[in-house]
Amino acid sequence: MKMLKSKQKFWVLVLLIICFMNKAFSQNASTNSGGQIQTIQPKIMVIPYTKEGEDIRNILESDVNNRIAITKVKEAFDNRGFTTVDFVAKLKAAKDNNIFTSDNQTDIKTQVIEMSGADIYVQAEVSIQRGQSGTSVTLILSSYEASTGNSLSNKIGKSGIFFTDDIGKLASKAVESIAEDFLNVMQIKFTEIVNNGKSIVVDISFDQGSQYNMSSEIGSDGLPLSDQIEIWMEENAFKNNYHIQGTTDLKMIFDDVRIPLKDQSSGNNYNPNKFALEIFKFLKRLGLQPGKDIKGNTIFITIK
Amino acid sequence: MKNNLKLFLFLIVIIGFYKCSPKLETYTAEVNFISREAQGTIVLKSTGYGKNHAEAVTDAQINAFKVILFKGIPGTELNIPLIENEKNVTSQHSEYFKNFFDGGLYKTFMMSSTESSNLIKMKGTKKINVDLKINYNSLRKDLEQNQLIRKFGF
Repeated sequence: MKMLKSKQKFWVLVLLIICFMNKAFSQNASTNSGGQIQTIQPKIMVIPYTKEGEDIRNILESDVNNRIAITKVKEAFDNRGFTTVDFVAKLKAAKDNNIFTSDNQTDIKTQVIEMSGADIYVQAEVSIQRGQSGTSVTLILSSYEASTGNSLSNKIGKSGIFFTDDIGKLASKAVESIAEDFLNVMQIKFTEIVNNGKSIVVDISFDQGSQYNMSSEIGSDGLPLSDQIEIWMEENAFKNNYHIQGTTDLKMIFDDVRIPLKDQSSGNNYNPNKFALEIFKFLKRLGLQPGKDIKGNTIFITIK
Repeated sequence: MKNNLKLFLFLIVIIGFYKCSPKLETYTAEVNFISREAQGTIVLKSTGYGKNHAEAVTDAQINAFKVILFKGIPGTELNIPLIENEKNVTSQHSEYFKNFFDGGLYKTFMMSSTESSNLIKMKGTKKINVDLKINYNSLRKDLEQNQLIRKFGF
């Protein structure tokens, strides 16, 4: 009888431990999605085109036609059920937070793109042609990957020639003539990304006081560090897809490394941060002291 | 006798395999752009063939949808087909397409259908031209909802 009781106590204890472990390690009940995984969508921002010396901050405020064109492009995204990042709101937030550190206008555009966290930006350029036979508007739409500068879609839209001063209406017509086709080409590029991976940049450099450089022979096989890194990249880039921009003694830049959108083993979302961690672990295994920074889709590795 | 029976069974197996293999029905590309009215709609002229009037009209309508779905219409917003890989998608979602074409689901995306020619007698068949107004925006949404194509984005 005593034996039975002690057995019962043992099993109760085991059950309690299991329950405790479940509580301790399971996902928070309030955020548990029941195993559903939603693919993280790219952040897209529509911005006006600026010529050298033009202030991007004033372009939208002073030119209503630019605002109309941008709103029409955003509307096209909305029609496809896709929400874009609002450029005006980001610009205001940037002004409020005093993020602008330079007078260089191109830099301000870059700073807004960086601050917004946009993965893709769409640039809209509106130009007006006035002639004896009427007025027309030409619109150039281009979209780029913010980190790599890879072009995604490019289209030129024309409003047609009308005897009117309503430039806004002509700008709308120019957008309508190409919006659908522009998005279709973007979607083809997205399919390519889904199948072949997302493009990121990996920049590997050395701390000022570092005793290593890219020629340092390292690891059990004594290969130069740059070769060790390339062999690792060859094995770990998605579908063996990577491109080296250049290697010097102090720097190695991969300007296009493909990573999957989903973790190939767990099916969870995969991102540059997780890839940076893999590079970090690899360099640690080689006996190095790396540091990592991630800015959007660019990974900066600094070897100490 | 035994050999004949074996040959007969062999032929049945071969015919069975042939019938079960996925096949793509051919359709003509006689679908031409007429105009674009409201955003998300397109007006097309499509040619259909059949034994009688009703069959030819249905063929023209189905033909127009097949071209939009699998081929695209150059020079229009539907330059690129709505479905990228015809063979894979049709075999994976055969039930949807059965309902779409045979069940008449395609008609829910057809805003108007007007015959633009008389029934023309040809050798062994009859031909008709039909002008169709198609709501391709809602067709795309339906394909997205039924997971035949991805929504915009990844």
